Amino acid sequence: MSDPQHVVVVGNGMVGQRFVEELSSRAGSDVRVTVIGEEPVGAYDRVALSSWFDGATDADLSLCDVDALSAAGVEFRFGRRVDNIDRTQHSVVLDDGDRLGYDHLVLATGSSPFVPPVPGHDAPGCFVYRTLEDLRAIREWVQQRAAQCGDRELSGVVVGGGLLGLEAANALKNLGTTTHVVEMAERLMPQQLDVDASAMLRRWVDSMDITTHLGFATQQIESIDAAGTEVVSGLRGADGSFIDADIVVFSAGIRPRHQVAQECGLDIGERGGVVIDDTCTTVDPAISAIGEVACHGGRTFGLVGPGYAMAKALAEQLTGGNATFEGADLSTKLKLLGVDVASFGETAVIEGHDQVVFADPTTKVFRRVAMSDGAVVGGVLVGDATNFDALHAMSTGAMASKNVAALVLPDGLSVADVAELPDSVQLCSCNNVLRGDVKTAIDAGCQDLASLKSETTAGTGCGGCLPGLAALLESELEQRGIEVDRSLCAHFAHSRQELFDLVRFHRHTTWAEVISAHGTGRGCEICRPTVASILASLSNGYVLDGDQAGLQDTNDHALANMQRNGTYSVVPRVPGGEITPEQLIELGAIAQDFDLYVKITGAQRIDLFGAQLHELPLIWRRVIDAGMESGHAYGKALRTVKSCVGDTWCRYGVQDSVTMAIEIERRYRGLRAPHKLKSAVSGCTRECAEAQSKDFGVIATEVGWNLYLAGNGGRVPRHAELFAADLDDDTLIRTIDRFLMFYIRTADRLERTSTWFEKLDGGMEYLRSVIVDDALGICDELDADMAAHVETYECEWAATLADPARAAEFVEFVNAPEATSTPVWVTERGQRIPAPAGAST
Amino acid sequence: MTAIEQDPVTTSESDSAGAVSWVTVCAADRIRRDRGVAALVAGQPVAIFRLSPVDAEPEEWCAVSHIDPDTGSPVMARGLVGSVGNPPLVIPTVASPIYKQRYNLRTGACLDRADLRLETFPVRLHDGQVEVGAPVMSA
Repeated sequence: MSDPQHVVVVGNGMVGQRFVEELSSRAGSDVRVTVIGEEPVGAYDRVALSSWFDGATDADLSLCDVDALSAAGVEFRFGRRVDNIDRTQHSVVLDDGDRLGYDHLVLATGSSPFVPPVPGHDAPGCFVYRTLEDLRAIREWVQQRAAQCGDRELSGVVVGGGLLGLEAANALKNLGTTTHVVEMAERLMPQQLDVDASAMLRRWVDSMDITTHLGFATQQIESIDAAGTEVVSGLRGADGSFIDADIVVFSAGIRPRHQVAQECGLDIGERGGVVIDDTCTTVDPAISAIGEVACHGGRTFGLVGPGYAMAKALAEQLTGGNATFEGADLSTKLKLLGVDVASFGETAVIEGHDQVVFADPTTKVFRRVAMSDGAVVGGVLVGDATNFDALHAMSTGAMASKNVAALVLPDGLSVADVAELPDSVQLCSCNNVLRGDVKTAIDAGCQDLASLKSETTAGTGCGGCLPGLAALLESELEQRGIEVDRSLCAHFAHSRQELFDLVRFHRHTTWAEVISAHGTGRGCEICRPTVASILASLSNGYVLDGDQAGLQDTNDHALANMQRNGTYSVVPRVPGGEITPEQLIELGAIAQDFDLYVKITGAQRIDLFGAQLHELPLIWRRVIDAGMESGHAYGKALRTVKSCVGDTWCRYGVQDSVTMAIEIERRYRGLRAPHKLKSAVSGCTRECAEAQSKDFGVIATEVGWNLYLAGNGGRVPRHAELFAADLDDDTLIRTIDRFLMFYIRTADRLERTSTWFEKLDGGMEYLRSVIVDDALGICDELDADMAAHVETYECEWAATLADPARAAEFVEFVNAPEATSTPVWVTERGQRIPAPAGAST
Repeated sequence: MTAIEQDPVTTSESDSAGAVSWVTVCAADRIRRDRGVAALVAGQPVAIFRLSPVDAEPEEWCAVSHIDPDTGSPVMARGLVGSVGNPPLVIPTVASPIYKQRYNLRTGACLDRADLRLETFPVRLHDGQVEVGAPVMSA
């Protein structure tokens, strides 16, 4: 099937047009193409047809650049139809008698609207909704009837509550009629939507003053005589009811236009359509069919996506390629009446599937995702199609099904809103704990996080859901009238913010002072690290000196990240992601010498895994000698400031993003905070450094820097919001200084900037008033605190190695410095990794 | 099992009240308050804690297995210490540094999961030295 000389394309709809473009761009002048189109104009965007009533012109909708394609050797014959195909002669006969020979014939005749054969269906005032000509006729009729009827408002009825029917209803609405939709089924869009989704869609339709009549079987279209001519007057239902109508538009489905193919003996599918194989070829190898007229695998496709896929496959086939069309999923995402409606995969509610559902009648949002064996298999989104792409990808297996519950949440919801979720939403994905399970546990008497964790197992895995769990607990207790205790833990009756202020005011520098003045007992794994963080934020002393040594959580305890087998990973700082070849080589050499597993992190750094406690000082000696320093990957502190190469190298960069990233990273390195801090600097709006997903992100503009605040990735990703635009270098740094210090002062423990920000009453405006306009009069303090940090920063590993007593802490056994435990290692892809769980020591 | 400085004689709380042989680990002042250390006692990794005096509670020494019962990793000495309860019953605890389950340092019982338990060892001070009792196999 290669190199045909003359390709004749019958039909110039969206798919036929796409095929011509695909073929023309591949074959160039090797192929002569003739296009026969029945309509007087070239292809236009039928999907956006209703926008014509909103003011879109024919030209706006046009998809066919006749001049360009003609110049490329494509001949168009508009207003012509093919009446006959002569397969033996390889020719077609047009309705004007002209005969055209072909080497290959492509049928793209599309489909025609189905008009139910009810009595009166052809009365004057009945229309279909398919072509621009139909639209013009509809408009003319409405204008004419309006003139005849004077002040009376016209009534328009659409027969069919499917996708196209609702589009048509929108059109009638735009023409000023009182609009009705009648649908035989008991719900709108019965093909795509389940009962609940459909009910939500109906709320949208209701809110647009479109009246729906469900379960309405049209018995007859009735007419009257108006000034000597017959005009439609209304619909009589099977139940005897009557709906006034000055115009009726049928939108009750489509039928493939296969007549000419049938007459020349090509195979026709059981439910219509020209039968094709995976190469889009019919039983006649010289004839192909694509689009709505084609029947592949026993089905026809009424969507443009599969049609385009056929067009592309066929164009490749005809130019020597071997692409095929192997069917398409019927996922759709569209704006219907301005409302997002999307469906993908299995859209029906199947017994045995788990359904993750969000339904909010007040915002008219319904989102349901079906899961089977932990994998997304389909879903329906009405009112908000956010995350459609990810969920769709999961349903096809293109993406792993993870964090589905979080993705089902509509845009704008986050951890803080977790209390609003339905009971069926999974709260803890590690242990599959549903919101309803947590509620039950609270009903059963759990009133604090610890008992809730032990009762439900939620939050005992990765811990990522703990903020959501705490928020839910708080709101549930509030609902039950139980006073919510904001104490840090059993040992401190203060919130983190209160404790921060107390420590700052009293200038405490030790745990002993803090616990004896403000707390009770010996503390715990919650308050000890919190106090450690506060002491570290307020003064840059060595975190393992004095009684602070007993406050440091798992990673800070050894200034390294503990892994599941008790060994550590080491992450040197690579400011802005810039590293010299010598440093890179030395990191490689260190990894070789200590047999460390090497992984590039998401933050443009290099992570060396598998170091034992006693090896840490030896490794850091060499890292520091190579001119690097602690990366604070172990601390709730600034991690990395990611950057793109900026205008130093990039053809598109407008500022030096690397230098700015390094400056920012050096300024805030070692700054302890309630949670980790991430940042990035992009050198232009292409945003290669992904700054908008960071706690504070900077994007270069032609004249300065845009600053985005309070974003994060993680369990509930949140885009950072634009805080200020076109800042100069100094203003940028000063603004970040204050933002960070205000966050450190006021956030809860383990609260990322995003969660903190969302809890701020007044949001962005309030934040501006505090750190730009100094509404609280604290900017001087914030500036001074940051200046003190910058002045007193020292690398914690350099400080460790500088003092033999500090370095001596890094032994595994206090009574046997030579002895070490021996983790069980295995080798994978040439590197050493821990043996599967349970096998160490 | 625990011992307090004022009373160097081991009090017997567990059912393994059999004979122990005392192994000297290190000088008491080598161990910082509220920050555990690991030691090898008769070949077995043991985590030793020296808890600060607080409220009415005197300084207290505890020794438990260094092996995290949940993961099998040798890390317990690196866990955070703390306490639960109010006077007169203030129980010293340690949290696993890996998944944060808390254990009663006196009995080894896990406060968060009934299926986990830490082995405990007697510990005492003798001439400024920390000694941990290793069980003696009956001959």
